Amino acid sequence: MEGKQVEEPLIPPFVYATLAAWVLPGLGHILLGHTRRGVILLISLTSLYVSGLLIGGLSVIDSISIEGAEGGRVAKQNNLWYYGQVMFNPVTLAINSWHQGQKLDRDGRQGRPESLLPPQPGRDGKPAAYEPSLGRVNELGTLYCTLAGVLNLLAIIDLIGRSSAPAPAVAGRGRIVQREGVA
Amino acid sequence: MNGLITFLAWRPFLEPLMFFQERWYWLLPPLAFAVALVWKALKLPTLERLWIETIKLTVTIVLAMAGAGVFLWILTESV
Repeated sequence: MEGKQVEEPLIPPFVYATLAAWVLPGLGHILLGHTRRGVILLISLTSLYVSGLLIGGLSVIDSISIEGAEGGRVAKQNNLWYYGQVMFNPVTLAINSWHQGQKLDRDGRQGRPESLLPPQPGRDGKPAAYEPSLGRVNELGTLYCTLAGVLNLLAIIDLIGRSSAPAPAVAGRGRIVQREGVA
Repeated sequence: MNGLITFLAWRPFLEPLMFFQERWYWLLPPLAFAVALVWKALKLPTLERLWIETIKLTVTIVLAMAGAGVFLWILTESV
């Protein structure tokens, strides 16, 4: 008996699962049926990221780092740690956008491309928008957030591997998937 | 009392947790645990032994970091 041709979807399901895993860590695994793994990933990765933000403050999310100051000019470079942090979740982009908008330039103007200085307390006694972290707390906060992103990348790679592997036959709880027309 | 007042005045996310500035090594075991948990959750074929394997890997990571620290200290002190 000839089997019916099963139409392949235009966009493979793993693409949706990968995007879902970037939007919410662990969601990709949940969508593919690995619920328990997905929930564990969601809780552990989110806890790691939030802990990093609590330890070092929002200033650990920073796409620009200061290389040094020479002749009155401050050299800036892209912060490689930031690329790891972005892999966790799109919220990192929003936090970085807010952070860059709070920085001041030498004239005290906010949110300009050359703004590299942290905000200052207001003259009316109002505290600064945020307190930049320095030293160990900045290092560990950055490390926590970057590791959360890199581990999420690992989870996404695992997701792609699982979605391309043939579904195992599971008695009882799972369902046995067979191609139509194949005995 | 001063520590409590400082903690109550702390603005979460807007200020760093300065408590860990001197006690930064307290943050390494939770970090190792999170890395071990994610690794085992991805690599184990079934999740029955997840927590035992995670704890074993966490201890391994912490001991390896401590060992690397001791080795590097000896190296920097002897050179």
